[in-house]
Order: sequence, then C-alpha cells, then structure tokens
Amino acid sequence: MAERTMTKKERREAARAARLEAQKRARRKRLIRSWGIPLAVIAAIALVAFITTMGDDGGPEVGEVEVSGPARQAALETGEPFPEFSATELEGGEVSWAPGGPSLIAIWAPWCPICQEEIPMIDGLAPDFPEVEMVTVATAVDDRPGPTVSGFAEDEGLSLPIALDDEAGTLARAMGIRGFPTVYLVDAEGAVVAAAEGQVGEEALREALDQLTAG
Amino acid sequence: MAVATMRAQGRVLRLLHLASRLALGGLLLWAGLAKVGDLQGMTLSIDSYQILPEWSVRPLAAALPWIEVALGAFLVLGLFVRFSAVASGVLLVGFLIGMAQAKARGLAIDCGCFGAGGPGEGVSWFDILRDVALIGVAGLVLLLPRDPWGLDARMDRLQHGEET
Repeated sequence: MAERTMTKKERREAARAARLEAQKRARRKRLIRSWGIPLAVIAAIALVAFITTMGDDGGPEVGEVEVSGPARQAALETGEPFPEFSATELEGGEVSWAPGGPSLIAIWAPWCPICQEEIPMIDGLAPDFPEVEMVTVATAVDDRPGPTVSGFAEDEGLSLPIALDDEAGTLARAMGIRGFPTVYLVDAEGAVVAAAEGQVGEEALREALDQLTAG
Repeated sequence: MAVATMRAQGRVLRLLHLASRLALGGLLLWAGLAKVGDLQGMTLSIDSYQILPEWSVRPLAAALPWIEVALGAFLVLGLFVRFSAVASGVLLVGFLIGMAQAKARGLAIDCGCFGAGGPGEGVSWFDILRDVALIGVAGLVLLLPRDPWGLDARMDRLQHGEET
C-alpha cells in the first residue's frame, strides 16, 4: 500500500517537473522570439553597414604634385600670377595647368557641403564656356569623414579633370586656400582676375565667366 | 458593473497602446526612409554633431536609417513590440544627448531628424521637446497592456492554439 502511494506521488512529481520543464522551454522560446530575433536583425544591419562602409574609404586619394609657387597664408590677389601645377588625375594619368587661355580653377574637398553643391554646378557650366579651361583640385580629402573623391565624382557624373592634391596639401597651400570651395578665375596671361571663397552661385559665376571671356 | 468598467478601461489602454506604437513606428519609418540612400548627407549630419569618433561616423550613417526603418516596421506591424520600444527608446535617448550637447555648445547645425542635416540654424527647442515626447511614447508602448491587433498577439494566439 505504502509502495503504491509513493509511486503516485512520484508520478505527480514527475508530471510537475515535466510541466515546469515545458514552461521553461516555452519561456526560452518566447524570449528568443521576442528579443533574440529582432536583436539579430539589428546586429545584421549594423554588421552589413560596417562592412560596406569599411571598403568605402578606399585608402587616401592623394596624388603626386608639383607647383611653381611657395606655400602662402592668404588667398592669391587680383593681378598675382597663379602658380603652374601638375598633379595626379583622379582617373589616373596627370593633369597640369599653365597659362594659355582663360581658366577657372576650383579647389574643393569632398566632405564640404558647399562644395557638394558648387562643384557639380561648375561642372554643368563647362559646356557653356568651352573657351575656358576648367580644372578642379580635390584636397584635404581625409580631414573629415565624407564621401570619397571618386565616389562623389561618380555619383554626380563629374566630367571636369580632377587634380588630386598630396597629403600635405601642397597645391592648396600654394594657392592660399583658407576655405572650401575656393574658385579662381585666371586670364590668358596667368594672372588672377577674381577669387571667391564659399558659395558663389550659378548666376554670379556665369556673369564672371562672361566677363572673363569678353576680356 | 465594476467588471464592465475594468473591461472598458482595458480596451482604452489597448487602444492607446495601438495608437502609441503606430505613431512611434510611423515616425521612425518616415525618418528612416527619408535618410536611406543618402549616405553623404547622413555622414555630414552625424559628423556635424561633433561627438563621435571619426571611424564610427560612416558605418553609423549607413546603419542608422535602416535601423530606424526596421524598428518602425516592427512597431507598425506589431512585431517584436517590447524589443522595438526599448530599442527605439535607447535610440531616442542617444538623439536627445546629441541634440542637447549641440544646443549647449551652440553648434550651427540642422538636427537631421527627418533628412540629411549638416550646417543649419541650430537644433531648436522644438526638436528636443519632440524627442522627449517620443521617448514618452516609447515608454507607453513598453508599459501599456499589449493591443491584440499586432502580429505578436496573433502569433501568441496561434501558438496557444497549437499548444491546446
């Protein structure tokens, strides 16, 4: 009789233990479903973002440069000769500038918000002024986070030659750059006609280019 | 009578839960979708707050809009609601810290809350108060009794049905 009672008790305890185990399993399942899955989704998004942007930097986009003038503290003034220069071109090869015709030289950095508006605008103006030699100089590329020069050029479909400054910013320093973008208009003799720092705007630039080509 | 009152209260709380999760989810979806695909803008926006190390800015710029979209979608669908409420709250507290320090330092930046930021007139008190209000909404989603119209509730009902 005592043996039968024990067996019943044991059975009850076994059933209770099984119930508790099943509840524990269900709780664990619910926890994984409610917290584990969404956490994994968020972690996967973060991981993909990290991996894709890691390769995006593509190393420093700098070139080898030569420039005829020394480093200077202030922007070139009207009438001063613009320094001749040569540098690695973004697509490979070399880009150089020397006096020979009216020119526009725009110095910019890919992370600078105003440059991101102005450089595509200047690029769009080029077909309207075929007699003006236009060159842009990308510098200070790694000073702040932002798009790469090649990524930006590709996104915006830039067609003007892009000279890559070196890591020391030799071109920018020889051109007296204090802010981005800086746009110089240079006459056929190589003298600075106008210089503008920051936002110029399409209308004003068109007018200045008209004057440059008329002179 | 008391049972009827309690039932009515429960129904109101569940409706409030539904409204809170839809409002928070909708806003996160909107904010995320407005920024997805604009890596340049997001990079400038995050960098303009000047609090994060440089190496972290681009990965965060790429991830943040998608995280907002994912959390927004979860909340609108009523899926993983408690997790999404906590994660949204953490995200919003992070935004609040960023905006408060930008305001305190007088940084002339746009909040970049619903699109690319960068240079601007400065973070406004409205931006900060809206963020605080959204943290409150996330709290409501977390603490109120769950509404029965989300996928979580449906999945639970299905599972319960299978078990019984």
